[in-house]
Amino acid sequence: MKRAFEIGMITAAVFFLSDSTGAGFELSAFSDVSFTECSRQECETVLGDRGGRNGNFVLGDLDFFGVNQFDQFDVLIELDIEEGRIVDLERLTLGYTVSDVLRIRAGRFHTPLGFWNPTYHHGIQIQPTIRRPQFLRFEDEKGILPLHTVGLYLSGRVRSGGLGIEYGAFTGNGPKITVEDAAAVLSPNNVSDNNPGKSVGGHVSVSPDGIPGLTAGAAGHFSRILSDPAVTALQLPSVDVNQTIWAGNLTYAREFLELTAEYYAIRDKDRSAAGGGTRVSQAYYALLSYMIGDRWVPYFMYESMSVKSAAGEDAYLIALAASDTTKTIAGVRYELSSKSSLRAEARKVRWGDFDWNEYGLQWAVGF
Amino acid sequence: MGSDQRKDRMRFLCAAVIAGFLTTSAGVGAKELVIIANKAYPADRITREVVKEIYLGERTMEKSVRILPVDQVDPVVKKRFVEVMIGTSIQKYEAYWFRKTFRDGVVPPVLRESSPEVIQFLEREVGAIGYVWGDEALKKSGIKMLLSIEVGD
Repeated sequence: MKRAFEIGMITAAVFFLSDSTGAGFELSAFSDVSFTECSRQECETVLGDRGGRNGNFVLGDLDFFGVNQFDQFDVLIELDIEEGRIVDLERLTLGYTVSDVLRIRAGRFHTPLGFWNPTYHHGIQIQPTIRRPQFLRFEDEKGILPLHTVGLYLSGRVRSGGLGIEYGAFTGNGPKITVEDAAAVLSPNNVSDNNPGKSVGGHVSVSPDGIPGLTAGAAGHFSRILSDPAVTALQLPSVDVNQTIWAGNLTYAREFLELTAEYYAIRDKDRSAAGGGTRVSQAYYALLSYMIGDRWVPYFMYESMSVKSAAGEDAYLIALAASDTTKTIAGVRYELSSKSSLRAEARKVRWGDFDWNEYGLQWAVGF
Repeated sequence: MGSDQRKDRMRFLCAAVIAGFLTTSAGVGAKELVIIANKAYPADRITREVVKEIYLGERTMEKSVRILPVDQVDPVVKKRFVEVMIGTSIQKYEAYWFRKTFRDGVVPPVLRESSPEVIQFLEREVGAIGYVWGDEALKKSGIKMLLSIEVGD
């Protein structure tokens, strides 16, 4: 009851803020409802009730997003209500634009790694598929990548020699592994840092004028990650790694065709006394979609995550219970309007030693 | 005056009349869209490419002034502007802004109901830039014209 009251108050405050300022406060929201069913018992073995063996209706997030600009300053807020009960401040940045070449933001932002994470954020309606790729799941969804950062982010855009170039550099609290709901999860360390090494990273993407619609990008992220002592209470190894992530992405959007591909290499160097050495895991996806007429968008995606999480390998991935995973997805999106869509998907999933098929339906809105 | 000279003069007159007729008839109904800004806006001229960058949120500053692009609710002038200057449809333009705002935290152009409201807004805000029909921008003291484009009937 108390939780419902809090959520009600937050919702009312967000709408009041939007209504009262009028002059430039842009408020949007996203939400969705899905239905998922899987074909075999294995999905329940791996994912529990959420696997969809019984056929699950899934209440999606209610994601509020607002931005305001005044003079050279801006404020951005993204507040997400997950599963109808968890309130999560996903993004909060205070910004100052010196020029288009240099924009400064401080706060909590989506780590600008690759294409998907800083593009779709929590907005299900604008992402191409029902779910994010497995390796790009958010930290509190048992994700393996630090997709949120609390710190400072400098970015800009220049044009040079027929190229549009976007770039950025950031630093923040290094992530940690902590315990939530009796499971180890990554945390972006919102208000503290449990080790002296700050995370640092940068990205650059290039769009050549000569090939309209093409963008190629690269990014790197460097951090030290330590686990909370509570993690060992779950019979999981304590974690102390120097982590390096390299990411590359390629997108091509022309007329009705869209092609997106991303590749990640995650290199963890064990700093613990046990000295587990250096392990490199990899993940990637490729997505192809084609719009037919104004409304139908069939798509095909293949994603793969290959991780060093066997006993004695990468303590970081063992603690996060990561598994080798591949998914082959075929689906179709029907655009009800520019702000609402229906999706239907079939997925062939291989998860460690298990495999099954899934079917999913989703109705998403952004308003 | 010889007959050749008279013939030349007649040919010249005919050519002038025809040219004048063609020029006048082409001008009838040819509408002009003008890009206007506050009188203190830190640029006096602007190219079509820059207008497109501004209305797609790719250029947000002019010198140290934040640019405040203004869109019209009036579907006739907005449709013409979006098609001619941005090269897309209103539906795709609005969908683009929905994603752009969410992705980059850039506020979309301010909306005003009509050209007089656009001009009023421009007169107040230093960084404001907008579009109206050419004849609507005549004899307005607080604004200046940065670009004029013929957009057909």
